[in-house]
Amino acid sequence: MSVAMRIRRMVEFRRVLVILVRRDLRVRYARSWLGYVWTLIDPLAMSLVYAFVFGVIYGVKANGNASINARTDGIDIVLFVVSGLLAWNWFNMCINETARALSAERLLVRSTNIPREMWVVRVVLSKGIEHLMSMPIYGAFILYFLLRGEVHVNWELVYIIPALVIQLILCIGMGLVMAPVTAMVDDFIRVVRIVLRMGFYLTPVVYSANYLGTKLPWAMHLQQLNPLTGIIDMYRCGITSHYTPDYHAWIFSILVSLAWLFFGMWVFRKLEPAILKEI
Amino acid sequence: MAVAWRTKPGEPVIEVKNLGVEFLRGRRRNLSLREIVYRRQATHVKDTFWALRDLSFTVGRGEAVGLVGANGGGKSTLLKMIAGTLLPDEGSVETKEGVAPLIELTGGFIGELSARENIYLTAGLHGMSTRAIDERFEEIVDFAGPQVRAGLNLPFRHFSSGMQARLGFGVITCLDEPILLVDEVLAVGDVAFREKCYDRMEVLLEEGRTLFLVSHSAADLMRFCTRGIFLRQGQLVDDGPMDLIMEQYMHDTMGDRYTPPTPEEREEERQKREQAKEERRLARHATREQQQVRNN
Repeated sequence: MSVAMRIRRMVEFRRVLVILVRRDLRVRYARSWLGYVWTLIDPLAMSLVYAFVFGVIYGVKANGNASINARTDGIDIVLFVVSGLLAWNWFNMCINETARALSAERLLVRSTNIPREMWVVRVVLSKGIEHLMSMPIYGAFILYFLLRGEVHVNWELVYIIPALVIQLILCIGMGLVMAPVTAMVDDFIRVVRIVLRMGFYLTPVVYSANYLGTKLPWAMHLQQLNPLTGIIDMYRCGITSHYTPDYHAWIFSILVSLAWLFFGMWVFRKLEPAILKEI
Repeated sequence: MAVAWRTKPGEPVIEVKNLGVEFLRGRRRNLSLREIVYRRQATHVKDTFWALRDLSFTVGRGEAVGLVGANGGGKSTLLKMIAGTLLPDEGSVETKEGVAPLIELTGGFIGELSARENIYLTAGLHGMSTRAIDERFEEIVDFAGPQVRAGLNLPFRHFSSGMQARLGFGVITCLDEPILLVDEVLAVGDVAFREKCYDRMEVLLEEGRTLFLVSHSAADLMRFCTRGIFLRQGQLVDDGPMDLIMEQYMHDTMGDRYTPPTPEEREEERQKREQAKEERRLARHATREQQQVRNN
């Protein structure tokens, strides 16, 4: 089946996608009011932990001296971490959950003939909606620091929207690789978890990419290849108006994400017949 | 109800060409990275077998095809290939019409969700629109019986396996797809329910649908099917009228202990089946008319 035909079939079955995503959200939110609270608590708690470790223990402060200041682009550590952590969480969740996308729904996958890519796209979308639901945290923190006069906000905040689109493409692309490979190779997911944990520190979530550039310029250039660097920069550029956005990283984000999407579709198509026999 | 066909009359609705599918024989199929690294081989020893091979046939509108063959003959595999839930390694299967698969009936149901939610979910996954489900909802629940109706809002996992199967059968047979695939699902459920299922299947067949039936029950195969396909170890042995294929299969398994009927006997059996089918059809009409009278 050609790529065009596959995409046409996915469009044909978009209603099924809505059903699946709605079911996911119902399972998560309709059951208890706590559902939504969990969405907020998780990133909030982690931000506070990082704020404690880096802000209190290591003394990273927004209004300290210039060199310390630069580590978080001159923004308070809590706000800085939240802005990166939300994006990272969505990515992290997507990779972990898409890995199980086919095996967890084994029975459904085996008994219905909807385009199998849907099982991956559905996970990414469900997690994406949860991600959107957690975005008010970012807004609340921006508002708080705005009222205290510690942050300046500009129109570049709208770059969050393209950032979401690029990240969606990236997550679907990587998910399309994760799902079939974990279904074929048992312990692949363990390796992925380790890589993800390292990836967290290789991505400028708790530190500024600009600061890395002043310390190790070559490392910063390498980091620009990480698609999340550009994406997180886009999340942040509305509050870091005193820095030029990292356009190189942005371009790499778009290119790398698209590359993952095509690679993912290719891998998925290659492995699909084998997967259907396995699960 | 009229079946909405996409193909023109006379065109084949299922086309199977040189179909082949290969399975691994290994007990443990999945690989682990550890093995890949230690043994430096990305695949298991190539111990495979062909579950189906060199299979070609076409099926047209309104044909009722029975698949016969011993266990491991590839009957269920073939059904899954037609349903599109397995993909061929060789050749092709073209299914040109929508499929209502009565395979792994309860597979699409989620234990945590209520029966009502499950009906919408499963029917939706098989391509039914929410409005269509709204319209057919009563029919589905009626078919599943009063016990299921009473538990509509209970989590599905609280249902007995018989009730689960009833609901599954009800949902899938309401799909309005032109091709019906049935894989031994009728073994579950009590006698009354089985009769109800058979009745439903006959109604669907009367509407001109195409049926594929896998069963080990000769009576069931003879009741529904007009054409038989005999598979042995993934190979097509023969394809012909159901009763002749059945005789061949019986001869194949039992050898000389099986005495085939004489042509006269065979003809007599055929007529007897036709007559029984006609009687059942008339009985159905009568009950339907009675119901209409009662409703008016």
